Amino acid sequence: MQQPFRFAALCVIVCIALVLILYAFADKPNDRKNGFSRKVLPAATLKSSLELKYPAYYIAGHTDAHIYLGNYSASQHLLAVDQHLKDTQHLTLKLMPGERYAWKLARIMVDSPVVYMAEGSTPTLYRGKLDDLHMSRFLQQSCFFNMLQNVSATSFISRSIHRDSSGNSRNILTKIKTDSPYVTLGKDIIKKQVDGIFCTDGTLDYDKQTGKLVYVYHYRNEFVALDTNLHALYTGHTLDTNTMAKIQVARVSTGGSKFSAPPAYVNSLARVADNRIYILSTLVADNEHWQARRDTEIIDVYSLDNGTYIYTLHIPLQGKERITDFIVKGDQLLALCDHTLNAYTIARQ
Amino acid sequence: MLRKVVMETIRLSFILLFVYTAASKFIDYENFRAVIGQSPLITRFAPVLAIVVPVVEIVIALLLVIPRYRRAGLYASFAIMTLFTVYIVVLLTLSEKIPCSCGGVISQMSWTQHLYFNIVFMLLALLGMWLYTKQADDHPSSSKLIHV
Repeated sequence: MQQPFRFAALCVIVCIALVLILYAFADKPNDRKNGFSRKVLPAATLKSSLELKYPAYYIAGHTDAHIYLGNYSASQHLLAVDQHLKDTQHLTLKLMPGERYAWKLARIMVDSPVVYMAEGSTPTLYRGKLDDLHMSRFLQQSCFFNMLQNVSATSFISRSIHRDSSGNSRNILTKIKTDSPYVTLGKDIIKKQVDGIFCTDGTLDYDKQTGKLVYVYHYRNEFVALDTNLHALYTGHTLDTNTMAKIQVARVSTGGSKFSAPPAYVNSLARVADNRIYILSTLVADNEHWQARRDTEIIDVYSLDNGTYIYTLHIPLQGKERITDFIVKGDQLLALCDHTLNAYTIARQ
Repeated sequence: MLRKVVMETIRLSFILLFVYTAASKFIDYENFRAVIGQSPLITRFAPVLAIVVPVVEIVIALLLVIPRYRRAGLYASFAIMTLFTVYIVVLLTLSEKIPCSCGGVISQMSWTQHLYFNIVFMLLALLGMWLYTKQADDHPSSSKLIHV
């Protein structure tokens, strides 16, 4: 009678011990010193915050008076929030009846007074005016892409997958224009390290004032600045020491590939504003508390002119949710954390 | 009678569970191996575990099928379900965002659903173990009655 329960108790104890041993020997990010230090400015202060009704928002753009949020799970929904995070306005992009596109992949870009919605797997691009939101097809001569950034009323920079003559695929940047030549390839801007797709993943952002684009890699300490004609201006380095992407990729027989080990993220997100590059880092510096990232996000600031490091911002988090998207507007940093949009005042130097 | 029905149901549901998940792991082997590698706890052992886990599941299912080893099979089922459950609890407390690799439709569950699912199966195995032991305890006395 007693035996099964004694066995069960023993079993639970052994299993807990086993998994804890596995945990103790597992590689944990920031477990060891990362070998660099930061110059940290006083922490940002939370000014206001707005609870959103739904999750899965991203920042689609901003004007002086408003911030526009798109939603990954409702492609035509656009939420306009005033700069004090008090008023919200629910908007819907209007398409012609019968329009078909891969809505799960569609992203909205607001570049007042114009609004775009783009999706790179068919590919489809719509354009409309912010005041009436009537969207119509635009840029019919384009190419497939997995990322798109508008740089002027008639041109876009995309990240597309290029397959060379030997069948290897890799990410490249391309320029798509409304007139001939419609598509120009920028072959050597993004550099392959492991597989060409995962190892080159990153964030692309554009600074309208200076006309510069920045591509920041996720898995290595590198970013590249370029002009809108796809000419690389310089290669910059983030503070950490990860020169090579620490990722493992397995090919799956159904086609495509998958991570086969946890990828070592270095720079998870980047935004350009006021001639500076703001990079959300996942690594803790030697002169920071080892648990610095537990309730804070770390944003390193670099000069857009030459890519040199200037200082670091600490953004205190409100709950458990981490920053999924952010923009910088003057001395204000607007950060999306799951359901919440937070406005912080940041120190400047 | 009722006890017998309960015991058989438990046994069959475990056989179904293990055969189904082991088969989907083998069929989708490359994917399974890549996905378990993404768990920081077992990255290093992923190539070995990708074989060992489905093989162990099949072995336990076989134990449950062969009458002589049914009890051992139930004990083994309980042990492996406990291991999976503890693993999930530790992963959840680490709040890592890791894809699940159990195989088949079971992979569609969220981590919390998984946790409940596993706990239910743990309790089922425990019930089965208890019923089998009870039966073994009762059995000698009933045979004695016949002798008398």
